[in-house]
Amino acid sequence: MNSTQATSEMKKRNGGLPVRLLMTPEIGILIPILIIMAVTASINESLLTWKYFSTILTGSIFIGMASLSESLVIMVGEIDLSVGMSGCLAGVICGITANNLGWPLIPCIIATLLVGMLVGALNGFLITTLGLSSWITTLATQFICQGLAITFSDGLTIPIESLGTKVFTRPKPLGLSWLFFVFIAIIVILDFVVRKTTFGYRLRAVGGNKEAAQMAGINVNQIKLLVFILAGALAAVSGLFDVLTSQSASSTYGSGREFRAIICCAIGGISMSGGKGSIYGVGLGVLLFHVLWNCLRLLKVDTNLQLVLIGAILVLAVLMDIQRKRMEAKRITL
Amino acid sequence: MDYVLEAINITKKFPGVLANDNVCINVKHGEVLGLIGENGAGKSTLLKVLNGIYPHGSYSGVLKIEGDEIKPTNPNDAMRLGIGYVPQEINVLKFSSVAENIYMADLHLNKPRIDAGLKPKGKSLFVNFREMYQATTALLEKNHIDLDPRADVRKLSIGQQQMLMIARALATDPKVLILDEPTTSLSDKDVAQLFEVVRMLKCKGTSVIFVTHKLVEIIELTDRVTILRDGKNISTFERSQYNTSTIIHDMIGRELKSLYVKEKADIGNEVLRVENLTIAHPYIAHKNLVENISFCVRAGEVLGMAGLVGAGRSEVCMALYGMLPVQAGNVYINGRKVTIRSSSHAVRKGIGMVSEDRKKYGLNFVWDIKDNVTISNLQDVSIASVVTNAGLRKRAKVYYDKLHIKAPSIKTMVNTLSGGNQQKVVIARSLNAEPKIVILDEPTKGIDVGSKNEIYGHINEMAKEGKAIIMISSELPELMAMSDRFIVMAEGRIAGELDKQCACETAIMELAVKTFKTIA
Repeated sequence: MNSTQATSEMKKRNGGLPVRLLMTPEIGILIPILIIMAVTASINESLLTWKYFSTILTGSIFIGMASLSESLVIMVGEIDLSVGMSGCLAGVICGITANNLGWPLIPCIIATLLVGMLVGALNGFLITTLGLSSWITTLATQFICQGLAITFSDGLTIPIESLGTKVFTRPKPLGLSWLFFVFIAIIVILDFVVRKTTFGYRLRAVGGNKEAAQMAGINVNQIKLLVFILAGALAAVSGLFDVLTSQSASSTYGSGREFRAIICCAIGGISMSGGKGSIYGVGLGVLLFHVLWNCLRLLKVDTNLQLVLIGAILVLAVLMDIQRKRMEAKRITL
Repeated sequence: MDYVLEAINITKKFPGVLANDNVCINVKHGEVLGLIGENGAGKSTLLKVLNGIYPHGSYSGVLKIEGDEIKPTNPNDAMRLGIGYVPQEINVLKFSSVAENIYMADLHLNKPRIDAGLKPKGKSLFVNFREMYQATTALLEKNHIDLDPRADVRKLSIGQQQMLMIARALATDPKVLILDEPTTSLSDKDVAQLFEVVRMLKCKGTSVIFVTHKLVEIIELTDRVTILRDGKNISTFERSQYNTSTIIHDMIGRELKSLYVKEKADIGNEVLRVENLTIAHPYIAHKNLVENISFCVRAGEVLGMAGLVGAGRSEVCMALYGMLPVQAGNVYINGRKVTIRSSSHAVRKGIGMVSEDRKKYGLNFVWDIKDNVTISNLQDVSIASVVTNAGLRKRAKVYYDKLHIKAPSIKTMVNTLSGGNQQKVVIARSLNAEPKIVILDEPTKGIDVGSKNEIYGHINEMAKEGKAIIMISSELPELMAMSDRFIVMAEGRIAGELDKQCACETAIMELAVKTFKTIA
C-alpha cells in the first residue's frame, strides 16, 4: 500500500469532521454540559446570566485543583485518597505561618506547597520503595493529615487577615477571581507537561503498562515518586485556594474532596486503569460537575436528592465514555 | 464419510475484515487434525466459532457433530455437545487443588455419577471431596496423566498445568478435543508427554484438533493437516502428502529459500563479560535461582542460550537488565566493571532487551506505534525536555521502515497489530535506545513463519552492525541456526559451552537435562 492510498484510507476510516468532533473526548463532555444548561435555563433563566455563571466558574477551582492532582496520580496508574486532607493540612500550615508566626505572603505560600509536597513524597516513598498499595497508603496518609491538621489548629479556625490577600479573591476582571485565572494557567501548564514533555510521556508510559515502561528503560519508581510529589503540591494549591478565599484556615476544609475529584476525573475521561486522559478533559469534567450541581440548586431540587442525581449522572458519564470507546474500537477495526 | 465434526462454509465478518471466508474443516473419528496458518490466518476465529465463544447466528455456516447440526450459543453449550477446548494461555485456578480445577463446573460430580450408573445429586449445598478425589484419580488414570488430585495447582510446573487443562477438558468426555498451541511454553520433555497423551486419546477414538506454529509438531503428530491463509482454506493434505516445505509454501503463499538464514558477521572484541553471577530465590531462603554463571559475548556475535524452560535463562537476562536483584557476581562492559541496579541504568550502559512475555513486558497497548517506539529514547527527540513532534515522527518512521512493520501508518494503535508486528515494535523500541548489547528472550515466540523470517534478518543485521547479541530460544533448530556459540543452562547453572562446530541437537539436549545433585 503506497502512502497516498494509506492516507486516503485513513481519512475514510476517520469519517467526516462531525464524527471526528464527536469522537474527541473533550467534546463528548461538552455535550452533556450544554444539555443540562439548556434544560435548566428553560426553567430558570438566571443560569444564563454571566453573574451566575461566573460564580459557578469561581466556585469550581477548589475541587478543580484537587481533580488536577488526582488526574496525574490516576494517569500514572495509582490512586490518591489523601488529596483533600493533604490540602487541608497544607492550608492549616499556611494559617499558622501567617497568623501565629507572622510570616509574609510568599514564604507562607512556599511553606504550604512544601507541606503538600512532603505528604506527596511520603505517599510516593511508601508506594514505590516499600511497595504498598496506593489505596491503603493514601487512606492512611489521609487520616494522618487530618489528625495533624486538627492538632496544629487545635480544631479552631485561624484567621489570615494579616496577609492582606483580599485582592486575590475579589471578583475582579470579568467577575472572576484572580485565583480562577491561576487555576486556568495551571491547567494550561499541566496539559503541556503531560502531553509534550519527556516527563509527561514517561508518566503516561508507566500508567499504560508499568512493566513495558520498565523494559523501555524508564525508572518507574522515580516517575511515580515525582508524580506523587507534584500531585501533593497541587493538592496544597487546592488547600491554599480555600484559605485565601475564606480568609481563614480550618481543619474542616476539603473533607470528602478526594471522591469528588475522582468523579471529576472519571467524567473528564481519565482512564481509571491509567495511561490515558487529557488535562483539558479534567477541566471540563470539573465544569460539568459544578454546572450540574448548581443547576440542581437552581431548580430547587431537594439537597439529599441532589446527591442521588449526581451519582446517576456519574454512571451516565462513564457509560457514555464506554460507548465512545466501543465506537472508537469499531472505527479502528473498520 | 463419517466425520465426527464438520464445519461447513463458516464465514465470520468483523467490521471491514473477513476473518473467515467460507472455511470448511472436518475431523474424522480418532484422528489428529493439524490446523496451521500464519497469525491472522483465521485460526483463532474458527476456534472461537467451534467453541461457542462466537454464538450461533453471529456467523454463517453450519456446524455438525456426527452428522447432526449443532448451534452452540456459548462455550458451555459447545462442551455439552462434545467439543472440548484447551486455550492457548494457561488458565487455571492457582489456589485450588487439581481435583477442584477439574470439577469446578461440576462440583457435585453429576457427570461421573451418571457414567458410573449412579443417581445424579443435582444441587446440594455440600461438596463430597472424597468422591471428587476418587473421580479425579479415575479420570487421570484413564487418560494416563500423571498428576496428584490433591496437589496445589500453584506448585505445579507450567507443563503440569497444561496437562491439568487437558484433563479438565477431558472430564466432559468430548468427542473432539481442540488444543490451541499447547506447546508454546512447554519444555521438550513436557511436549513429549503431551504427545503421548494425544496419541493415547487417538487410540481411544477421541479426535483432536491440534493448532500450532511449529511445523515439527505437525509432521510428528498429525494424520491430516488443514492450512488456512487470509481467512480461507488453502489446502488439506493427507499424511502421505505433506512435508515441511509443502506446508510452508501453502502457509505463506511463497517459497522460503530456507527458514533460517544466518549471515556471516565479523566478530570483534569482547563487549560483555559476566563472572559468577548468582541470583537468589525471591521467596525461599538459601536457594538460588541462578548460580555461578560466567560467560562473555563479543561484538557481532550471537550467543545462544539453550536450556529447558525453568533452567534460569530468562532470570540471567532479567538480572543483566536490572530487573532482578543480583546477589553476587561481576558484570563487565567493554572491560569496565559495572553495577546495574535498574533497567534505566542498563539502558544507559548500552543494554537493550526484548522480553519473552510480550503482553506483560511488551508494549503500552493504549498507545500507537510511534510513541511505543520512541519512549525508550526521548532525549534524542526532545529539546530541553520538551518532545518535538517532528523529531518523534522522524525517529519512529526510521524504525517503522527499517523493521518493515506492517501497519497503515506510524499512528496505528499497537493493539490492532498482529503478534509478529507487535514484536517488531518491541524490537524497534529496544533498538531505538541504540544498545551495544541486545538480549533477545524468545524473540520469535508465538509469531508466524513470515515474521520469524524477518526477525532472523534483523538479528543478522544487528550482528553486522557490531552489536553483541544474547539469544534465548526454546526452538532448538532456530537457536542452532542463528547462534555463533552456545551456552547450555540446566537447573540454574551452566551445564556446558559449545562451539558452532560441535553443537548438534543431541549434544545440547544432553547438557540441558544434566542434573546437579549438590545444589545448595
